[in-house]
Amino acid sequence: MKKLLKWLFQASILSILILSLNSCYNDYGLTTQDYDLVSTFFKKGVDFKKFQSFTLLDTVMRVTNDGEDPDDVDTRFDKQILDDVKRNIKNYGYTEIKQEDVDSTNLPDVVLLVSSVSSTNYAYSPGYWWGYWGWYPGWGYYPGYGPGWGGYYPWYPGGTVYSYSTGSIFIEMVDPTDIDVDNRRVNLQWGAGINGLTDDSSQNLSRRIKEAIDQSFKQSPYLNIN
Amino acid sequence: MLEYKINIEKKNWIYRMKTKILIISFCLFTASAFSQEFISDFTWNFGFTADKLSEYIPNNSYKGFGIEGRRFFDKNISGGLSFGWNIFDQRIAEPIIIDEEGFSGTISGTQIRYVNAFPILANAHYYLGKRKDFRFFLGGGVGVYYILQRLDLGVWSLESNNWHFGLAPEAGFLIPFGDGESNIIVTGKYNHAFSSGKTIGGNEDNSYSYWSLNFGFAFSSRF
Repeated sequence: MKKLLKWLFQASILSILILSLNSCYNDYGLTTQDYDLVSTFFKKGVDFKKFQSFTLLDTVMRVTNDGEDPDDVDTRFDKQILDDVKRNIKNYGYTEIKQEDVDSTNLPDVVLLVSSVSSTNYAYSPGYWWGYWGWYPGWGYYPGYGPGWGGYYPWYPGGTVYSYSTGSIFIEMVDPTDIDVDNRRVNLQWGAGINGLTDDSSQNLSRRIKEAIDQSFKQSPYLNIN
Repeated sequence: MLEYKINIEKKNWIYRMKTKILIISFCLFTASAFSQEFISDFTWNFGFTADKLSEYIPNNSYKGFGIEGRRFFDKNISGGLSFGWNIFDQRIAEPIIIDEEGFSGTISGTQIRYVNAFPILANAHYYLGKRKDFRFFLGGGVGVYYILQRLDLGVWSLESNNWHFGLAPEAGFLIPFGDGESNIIVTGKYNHAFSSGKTIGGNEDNSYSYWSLNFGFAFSSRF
């Protein structure tokens, strides 16, 4: 009887301890915004002060799965995204050359490209780079560009940008003169990837997008040429 | 004939002696075996991260427990087995800086870092003091640690789970109460799990170290 009581006592202590541990992985009660992630990368050795002007392409390009109609995707925030990017890059001292004003005598030092992914588990291969951005007539002012070209993303190993299960926005900064003709690729100078859950109110999504774009520039102070 | 009889008697005497020795040995053995002390203990373990683990998770942890059985081989020496579970986790808002050949980067977002350590150790202890009195002991364990390392970053989760060889030197004391067979046990232990693979960040050395301060109850009995 005494032994039985001891074992009951021990078992109850053990149960309390196990319960007090909750689980292997405490989720810390994260909110939707806590899942937002902002990644920025830059090519080493680039002196961003040599860039003075930029052109922001006026379309948020949709990276879609095979068979998915790009027209079906949510475009509510496209204008806001482009405006937020433009506001930030201007604040860092760059002068805008509007897309329609680009010609052989008025070329920007860098081109900013914005794309988004909202499909599940989608991998964005840089091999499609030209397929997404080839429409920009400004490439014609530089030698060598053509179909089959890809962006060079050393920070995404294996030639795949990301596999996202949620909504993502990519901002890329390209110096059109920094190219690798042999491998037919454009060396990106800077890139930002913003990822988060899209299951949120329109108002919250708008705020989170703004904050994330602002954060991508804030954590890239080397872009500042002021 | 006489010689043969002497030999027979001699053989009988040797047989009887052998039998006696066996019986006496058996009695001694069983007497000692049945009178050996056995201690089972349950502890609440506080973990204090050290070395590489403290770089990954600076926070200490109150989430842990241990179960142990010790059998005495003589008055002062015991051997046994122990099992434990220590959870370390921390929410971190600091950005991750990436510095690779050709590019650098920053990743900002909420990180939750986890390490779950499950030591399974054979242990041995030496005691100063008598049963049912205050006893100080020194010892340690050797065995394996199963360690789960995880990093939650945004919607992403990276995991690296490995078995490690490990050591755990330990010191502590038993404070008897009541009938003297129940004890409060307090121990301090340094746990070191040797490297057995890569960390989730790709580092070649995935060794883990932590101190644990353990409080609990130990029950002594004789079998």
